[in-house]
Amino acid sequence: MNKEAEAVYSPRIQTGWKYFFCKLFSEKLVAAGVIVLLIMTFVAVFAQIISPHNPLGVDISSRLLPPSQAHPLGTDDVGRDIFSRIIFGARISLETGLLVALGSMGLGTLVGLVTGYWGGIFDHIVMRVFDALMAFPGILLAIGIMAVLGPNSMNVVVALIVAFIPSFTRLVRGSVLSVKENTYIESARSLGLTDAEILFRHVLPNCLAPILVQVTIIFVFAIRAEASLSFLGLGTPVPQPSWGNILAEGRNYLRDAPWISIFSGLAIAITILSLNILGDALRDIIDPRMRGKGGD
Amino acid sequence: MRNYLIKRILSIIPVLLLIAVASFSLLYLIPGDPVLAILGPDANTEDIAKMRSQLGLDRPLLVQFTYWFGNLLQGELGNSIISGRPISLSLMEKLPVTLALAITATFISLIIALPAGILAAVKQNTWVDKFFMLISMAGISVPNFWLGLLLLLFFAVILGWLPTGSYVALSDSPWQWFRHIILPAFALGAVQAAVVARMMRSSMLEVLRNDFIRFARAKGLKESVVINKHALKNSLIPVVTVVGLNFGHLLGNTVVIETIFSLPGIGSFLVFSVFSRDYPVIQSLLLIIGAMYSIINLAVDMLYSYLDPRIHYR
Repeated sequence: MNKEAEAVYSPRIQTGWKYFFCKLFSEKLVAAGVIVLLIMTFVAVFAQIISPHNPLGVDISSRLLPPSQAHPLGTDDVGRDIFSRIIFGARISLETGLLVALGSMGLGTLVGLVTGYWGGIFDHIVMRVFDALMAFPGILLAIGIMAVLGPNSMNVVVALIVAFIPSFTRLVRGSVLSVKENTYIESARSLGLTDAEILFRHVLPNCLAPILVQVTIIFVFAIRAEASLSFLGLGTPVPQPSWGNILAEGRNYLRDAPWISIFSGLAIAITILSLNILGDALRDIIDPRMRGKGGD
Repeated sequence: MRNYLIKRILSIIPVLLLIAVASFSLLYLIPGDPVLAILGPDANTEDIAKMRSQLGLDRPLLVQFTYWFGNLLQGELGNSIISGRPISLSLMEKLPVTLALAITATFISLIIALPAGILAAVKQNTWVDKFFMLISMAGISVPNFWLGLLLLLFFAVILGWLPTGSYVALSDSPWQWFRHIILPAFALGAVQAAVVARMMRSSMLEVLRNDFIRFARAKGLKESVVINKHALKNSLIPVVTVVGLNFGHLLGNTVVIETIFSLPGIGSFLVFSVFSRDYPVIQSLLLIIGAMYSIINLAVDMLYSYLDPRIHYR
């Protein structure tokens, strides 16, 4: 099919990356959020170089030290440097968030495209199974799955992907059901395109906007859920540092060493705040009607 | 309308059945032998056989499910492997704690969110609006378990005004109940307040743009009457939905908060059961929470149609 014909029936939004980035960075708060996220990512990637101490290095003589020049965020009950543990914890948190967001996006989009486009018995069965999964609050479903799989960083990713796939699938399926009724899809079909070509070249690109917004939301949920699971002792196992398990370790020393819990919690809150700001901005750009709407 | 409600109530039956199947399947998803997962690799043959019989694993799968489901319909959830107590009895003790926590948290979230959301909408695009929305954005971003720990640190450890944990029943001492529930309920409710405030603001803004509000103002009504009498009632409908749906999420979040504040609710019971590999209890708790979550969603749906009679259902 020639490009002219494609341009006639494929309604691409005339925006472009330049417009997108100009719009995204036009607000100072959004720019600040993006910078914080870039710093967090940099810290997570280069944790080995940036970290001043070994995050697993036990030193009983320096236990429960308050923040100082040698230990900017203090030390924990066995003398490990909290700053180094938080830096390495960023790696676990962001890695989990990214893997869960990409995993649930990939699988959810695929299942949503197939069920929404073809419908039928497969759609019916999948939707009923997802109804059952969605009947559990996400964190409880993840706890149930972790009870089966056992605490481990990779199992957290699997549990959270299973917990978040249904919401992604429903979103994509809903978009596909609406997009496939458009006349340009009918035209594509009449031009002799195969189902796969229609799905991936015409249906999917027109479902990308809600998918992009949902990815940021799932990213936030995944970071929070990983921290919750690790806090409960069901996520990343100690001594491997994760923001959630550092926070949990600090719980026993709230009176003597509150800095353990304060700084690890602050790391989670700042990351989630930045992601929420970015997610809100994306939602505003993609769908200006949603400007200022609540909920996350 | 009546037909819609009957249809809606009937539609929950397959969902509840699927929740039951999902909860039942939990034991069979364990990699390897579930009995060895519970007893450990060093268990002797006699104990393994006894546990297998106790869990009903020595019978065909369909028979197991029929037996389990039959008992479930009669309110029998089986016994805990660890304590030997009937699970339904433990639930009767622990469920009121979790419900008290979730209801108090919802109440706190409404006290904070409604005035904040209304004020932000009325003063749209002023510093008041920006301040409240920034606070609500921060509120959404703060993990409730961290907020719980900070509250515990400040009010219980530093100031010593409130207890650090445990629970006193409302019937035993209302004042002590309040002192024990306020911190966990605030930790849980503050985050919800942020979500509700944002919804309240956007809903109020939409209502304020309507003609009947312009007409009420043109009539010469005071702004407070316009807001409280005309705008508020109409803007509450989507807020009710969010509050109702959030109640289900609150039940999920109670797991962490109950653990921090040592509250003997079903959340901390679930965590304890996961650590002790008490699978019958885990199955029952997931089943109960899933069922409650679905029933709450149904109730919200029905309340929605009651609150807004303009909505027509097919």
